Amino acid sequence: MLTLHHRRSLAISAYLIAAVMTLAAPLVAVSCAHPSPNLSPVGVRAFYATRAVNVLDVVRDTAIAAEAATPKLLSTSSTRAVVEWHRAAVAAAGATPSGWEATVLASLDGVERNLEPPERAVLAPYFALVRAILQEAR
Amino acid sequence: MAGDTANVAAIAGVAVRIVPEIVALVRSFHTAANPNAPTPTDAEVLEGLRQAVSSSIAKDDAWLAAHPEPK
Repeated sequence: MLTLHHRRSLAISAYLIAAVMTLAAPLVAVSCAHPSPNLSPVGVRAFYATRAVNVLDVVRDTAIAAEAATPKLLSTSSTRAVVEWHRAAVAAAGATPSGWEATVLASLDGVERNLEPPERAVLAPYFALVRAILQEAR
Repeated sequence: MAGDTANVAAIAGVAVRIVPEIVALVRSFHTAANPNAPTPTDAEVLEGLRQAVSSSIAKDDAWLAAHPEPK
C-alpha cells in the first residue's frame, strides 16, 4: 500500500514527465532558431539575451504559480529566492554585453541547491531549459 | 486520499498556467527559424531586449512588493 509520501512523489513524478515532454519542444526549436544573418555581433548578443530572458521568465512564472497553488508546491521564501535570482539574472542579461551567461549559470546552481528536494523537482525541467539556452548563448 | 487529490490538482493547476507560456516560447523560437520571417535590424532587436527586460523586472518587483520578507 502506498504511503502519502509515495503518492505525492508519484504525482510530482508524473508532473515532471509531462513538464519534460512539454519542454522538449523548445529545446528542439532552439536547435533550429538562429539570429538573422543581417545582425551585427551586438544584435546577435541581444538576440540570445532576449531568448534567455524569455526562458528565465518561464522559470519565474512557474515558481510563482507553484507558490500560489493549493497546497503550495513551493514555499513563499523559496519563491522569493527564485524571483530575486530571476531579477538579477534578467538585469545582467540586459545590461552586460557578454559574460553574463556564466554568472547566471553559477547563481542558478546556488538557487537550486537551496531549494528543498520536492521544490527542486518541480523546477528542475525549467532549470534544465535555462542551462540549455545559456550554454547556447555562450 | 484527499491530500493526494489536492497535490495532483495543484500540480495540474501549475501546468495549465505555464503551458500557454511555453507554447508562446516555442512559437517565438520557430519564428526565428522560419526563413520567410522578417529580418529585424540591430535597433529592433536591442529595443526588443530592452522591453523584455523592463517588463520582466516590473513583474518581479510587483511580486516582491506583494510578498515582503517577514521581519
